[in-house]
Amino acid sequence: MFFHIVLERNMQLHPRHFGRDLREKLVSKLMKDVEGTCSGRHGFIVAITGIESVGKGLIRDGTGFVTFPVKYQCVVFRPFKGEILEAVVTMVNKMGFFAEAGPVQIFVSNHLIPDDMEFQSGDVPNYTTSDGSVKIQKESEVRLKIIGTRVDATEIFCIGTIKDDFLGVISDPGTNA
Amino acid sequence: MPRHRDYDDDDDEPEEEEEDVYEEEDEEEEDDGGKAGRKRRRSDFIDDAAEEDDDEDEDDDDEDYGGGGGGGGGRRRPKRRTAFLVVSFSLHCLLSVVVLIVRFSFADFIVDSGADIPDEDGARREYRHRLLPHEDQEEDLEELTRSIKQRYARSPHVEYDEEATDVEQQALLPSVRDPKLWMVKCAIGREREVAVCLMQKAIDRGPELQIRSVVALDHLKNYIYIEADKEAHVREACKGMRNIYASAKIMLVPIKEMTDVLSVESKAVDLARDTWVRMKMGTYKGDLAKVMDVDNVRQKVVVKLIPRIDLQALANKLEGREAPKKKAFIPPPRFMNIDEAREMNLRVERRRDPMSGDYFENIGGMMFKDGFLYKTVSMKSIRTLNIQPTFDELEKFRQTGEGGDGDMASLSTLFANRKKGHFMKGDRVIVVKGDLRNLKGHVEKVEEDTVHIRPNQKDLPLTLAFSDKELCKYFDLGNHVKVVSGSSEGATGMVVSVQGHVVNLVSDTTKELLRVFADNVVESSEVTSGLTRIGEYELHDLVILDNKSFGVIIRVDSEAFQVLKGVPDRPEVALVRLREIKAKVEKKGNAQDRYKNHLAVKDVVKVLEGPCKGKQGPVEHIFRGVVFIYDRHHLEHAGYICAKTQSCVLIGGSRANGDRNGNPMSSRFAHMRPPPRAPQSPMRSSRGGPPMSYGGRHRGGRGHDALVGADVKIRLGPFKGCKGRVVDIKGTSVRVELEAQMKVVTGKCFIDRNHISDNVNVSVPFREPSRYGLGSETPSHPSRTPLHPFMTPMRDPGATPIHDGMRTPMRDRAWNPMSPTSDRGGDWEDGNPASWGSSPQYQPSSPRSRAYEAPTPGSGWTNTPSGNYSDAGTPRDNGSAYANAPSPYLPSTPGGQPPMTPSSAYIPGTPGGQPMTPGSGGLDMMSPIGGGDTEGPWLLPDILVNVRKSNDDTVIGVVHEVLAQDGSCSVGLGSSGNGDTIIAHPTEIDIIVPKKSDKIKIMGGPQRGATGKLIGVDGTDGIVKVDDTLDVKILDMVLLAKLAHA
Amino acid sequence: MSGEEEENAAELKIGDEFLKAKCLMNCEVALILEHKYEQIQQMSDDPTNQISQVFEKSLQYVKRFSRYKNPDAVRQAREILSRYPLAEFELCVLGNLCPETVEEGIAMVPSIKNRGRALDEEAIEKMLTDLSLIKKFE
Repeated sequence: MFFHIVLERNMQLHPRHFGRDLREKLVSKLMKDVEGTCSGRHGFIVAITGIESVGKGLIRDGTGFVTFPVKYQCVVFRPFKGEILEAVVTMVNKMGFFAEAGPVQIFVSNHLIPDDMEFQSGDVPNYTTSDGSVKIQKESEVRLKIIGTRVDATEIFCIGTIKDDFLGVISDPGTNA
Repeated sequence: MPRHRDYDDDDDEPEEEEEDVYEEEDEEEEDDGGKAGRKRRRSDFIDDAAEEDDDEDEDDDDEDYGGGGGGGGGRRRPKRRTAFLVVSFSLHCLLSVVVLIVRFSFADFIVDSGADIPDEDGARREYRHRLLPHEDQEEDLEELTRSIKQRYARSPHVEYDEEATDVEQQALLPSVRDPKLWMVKCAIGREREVAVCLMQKAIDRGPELQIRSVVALDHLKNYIYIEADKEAHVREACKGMRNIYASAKIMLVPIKEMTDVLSVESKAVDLARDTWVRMKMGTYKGDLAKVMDVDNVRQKVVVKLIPRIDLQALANKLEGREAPKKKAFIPPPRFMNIDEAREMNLRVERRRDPMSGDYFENIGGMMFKDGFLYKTVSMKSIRTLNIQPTFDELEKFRQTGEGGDGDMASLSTLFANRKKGHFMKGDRVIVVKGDLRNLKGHVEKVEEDTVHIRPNQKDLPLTLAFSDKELCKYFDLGNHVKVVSGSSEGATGMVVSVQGHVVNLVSDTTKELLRVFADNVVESSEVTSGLTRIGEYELHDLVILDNKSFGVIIRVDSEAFQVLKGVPDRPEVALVRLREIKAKVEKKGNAQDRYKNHLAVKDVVKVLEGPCKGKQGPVEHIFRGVVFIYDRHHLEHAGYICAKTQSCVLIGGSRANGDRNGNPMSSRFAHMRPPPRAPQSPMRSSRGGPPMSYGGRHRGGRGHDALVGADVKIRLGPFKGCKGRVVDIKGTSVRVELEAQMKVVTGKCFIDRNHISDNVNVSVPFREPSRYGLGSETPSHPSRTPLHPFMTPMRDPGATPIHDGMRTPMRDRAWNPMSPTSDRGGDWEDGNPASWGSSPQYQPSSPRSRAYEAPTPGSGWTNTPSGNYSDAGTPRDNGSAYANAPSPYLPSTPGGQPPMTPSSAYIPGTPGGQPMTPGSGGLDMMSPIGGGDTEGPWLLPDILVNVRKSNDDTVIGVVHEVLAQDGSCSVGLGSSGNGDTIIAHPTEIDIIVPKKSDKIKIMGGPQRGATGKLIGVDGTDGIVKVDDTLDVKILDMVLLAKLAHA
Repeated sequence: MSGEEEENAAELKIGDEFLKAKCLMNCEVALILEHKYEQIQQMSDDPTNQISQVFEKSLQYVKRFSRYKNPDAVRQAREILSRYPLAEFELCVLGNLCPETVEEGIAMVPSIKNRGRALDEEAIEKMLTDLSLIKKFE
């Protein structure tokens, strides 16, 4: 789920940037530092959308660097356990398939794929029901439920299931022109 | 007196019962006017149970003898029957161990001078046994045993009744003063015989045989135990015994193990159906087998095995041909294929088992079913203890038509075999046996074999006790777990499915499915890959192979590596063994991308062509015109991509880590590399350096370069004491850029990894933030604009309260635990108030670095703030008061007011202009007093602190009370705070940073004052389980203080 | 980390911070990111090199999974959902997944049923129909 939240960060700036465009310098540095990062708590920081406030700077002893607390608004993506979302299948193998929902990767193990779907190897590996009506392959869009998240410093990885009501393929690339 | 006790104790026993026993005794002792003897023994019995002092014992005895014994005569006269024996055969038929104990008592034959013989001891022991009449009463044996059992089943409790405490139980254990147990070698299979012979000998020889008892254990072949005071006595007794090897050494059983000899532990692997066992001997020695039927009477079991049959040999044999016999050859286990057997002209009979009704194929007298061999074997030929079937073995057994049922059934033995201390408090468990099957709960307490669990169901009692065999660990889908034993030990992953006792998990590193037993798994938030190294080669190393090819190790198996070869056209993976690897490439290559941009390791590049077009990520290795890129979105080959340098283009704008970790090298390269292509140049040229991304954002916390970018202090060697930043790691060496020399040259030195202490976190040296250059205003401001239209719906009637009500408090909320906010800076500063007091130049830096011990570098941007603090390399900064001011003031035109004095604040405003908000005026005061004021409430009682005394010595202490007026604390010295109480100013107090699993107190934020436990540390964040709510919170480490042990 | 109160979006246990935070539907995110993307594009002729992978992936994703493309429709969708007593998170899940039936809606957002809110099946049905109408008229 995407959120729009306010975060705060202490930014350090070298005195040489102190001038008319100090604020801009701060902002661009902030973007560079923060956008695209990921923390377990807030998820992926997708984009900074605005600056709430820049606090008073504080000189750090001995260096001349100044620290500014900056509050900024940003769009974050944070997956939750139990969340249902749509995702695009990126890889299918005999152990299950990987899907992506924005920046986050979700693995759906074959244990969590309905039992009536069988793995078919070949050029385009896929999971197909016995009657062939439903097929999961690369680029398929699926609706899945996240059942676990693993958070490390730079990444959030999820495992999901499509073994539940109203979950599964929304469209497969064949039919979805 | 003892007699009274005796009667008391037996009160609830049927009178006849007692009578019976006495009668027998009487019969036996009639000749010697058994009254005395009887009393004597009874008293002995009591004494023993009471375990009174020897002296007292004697007194008692004397009294007894004197009082009731009809004179000392009985005492002096040697008895005709010299020994009283108890032969207790297999006390309980259920027990698989039969113990034969032959007991002698010479207590009654002591001559006056015999006081030195510790006969009492011997007699005392008798409580366990009862006197057995000699031969002519053997027919009564059964009855006797029964009565003995009945009467003495309770015997250890006689004195204490139910109240026997542990301590009292302890008192029953043998001590140094008791006779010792000697282990004597005898002929195999003659153990019982020897014991009985010794008994006979004792009967014949009387007191001169100075041994006290003989024990033959059924499960112990080749040895018997003899209880005696001296080895010589044992030797004497064994002299002339046919089946005892007199020459063999007589071994003393250590006191501690004496109880083990006679305690019957191995009882209850009740050989039930479906238990897993291993064969002890023969062709199938060591093979796993499953018990299909048990015949307790004949001590036989039917086991199911995977046959090891050489059909050809079998055919030969059945046809009477003599086949060349190779003893050493044991056929591999293979399922029996009946058709194949038929083809070999083996006679296959199909028979119905009359008992079970199942059909078996009979070939040459062997029974087969579903390819398995059903074999009837003696119970002795199977091993039932500590059977740990491996996964493969179980899989094999499951292959043929055994449903999920088998899985659960197989648990019984798995359980029986698991280690002690298997369950831990907090484990989630499920009941797998009994009425409460499928009940889930948490382990509350573990005592020996009993596990108390708190059931998840509400209406059940608070805790329930289960035998640990009835429980199985339970995991929910999505749990992050670590494998703690078995073949994939060390791996971590997330649970994707649980099938009975088997847990399937997706490995974190390989993204592959692992099947493991729930028993071998614990919940964990840690991320590891299990095996990451063989020899000197580690996962993700670049290695040269035998045939001049090279590649990156993408996987480490138990004895081989998977290497992604340096072939750019298509991904090629080779499985190589350790010896096939020639060398590790240590050097960090350089190359140029398609547009002649200089590429270095850690630069982020994008692949422009080839099979991996569009992938991007940091360069991990450069070698011979080929780059290895790590793209975490690339699912194959552990995320590694191999591409030609020419097919790549450097991108860098998006990566923050370079800036974060600081890359002084950039300046070195700046002049070397004129930006050749317009698209990148605006960004890069203005940035004044290549977009080098040093640091571990992509590999953060994992892998060998986690240290890169970290600020370290060198502990040993010529550079001892120097601080610097890690720029590179090669094997065990790191290259550190010394801070002191930073400006002059990039002084680097190779330093053994062990010689540095990673005392500070990722640093943030300044980096000109000019990615957006002059245009940078535009992206930020315009980007706000789009927000407004979309925010409009929020302002709609329905949403308005949300918008106003929720956003605002949020801003005021304590974001501090994660994102370093003002408070946090303040807290931090307060935590090291020392910096306030004196000028920075003279202050040792220790307090600061201590605060940063915990974080691991590269663990995300949240670290940076702490890095900010630490990278200054100075002991302190006066960040607090300013940071504390939540003023909306924006530094627009900085300048003026240069930071002249270290303790004064720099106000980023035009000197005279830009008035502060009213409130901030006060906060601007950076005077030590001001600081002191704010730090008053920082400290809390019961936390463990270091109190710094005048001469830089620190003493550990516990804060008892925070005094209101100036924040001073009364601190009890010593780690428990029991020592002298002193009053310390907060400036003299440092909080002790907690370590993992320490009890902590939260010092800041909304939960200030709450206690909890630090269950993990992630970078600058501590993962805290709060005591009251049991919530798990992620809090900044600086907000945590170690709690004193209560 | 056993025994903790685990997050579970189905029960709306997503942590206070996010529960109170402003949640965005994919279509809203798409608008924001596209706008930002344009901004970056204006500044540089090779924008792909300036944006993070996270940004790129997110943009692709929200473009693909936006139910409503038109900003007006997006606004309307939020407006309709805001009429009902929904938490931000629930609102966005519904907006993202556009369930067609009440049953499906409850399956997607189990928390709307069990919080004792005045949200009966009829109301849910009305809400879902209204949502689908926007889609139709877009």
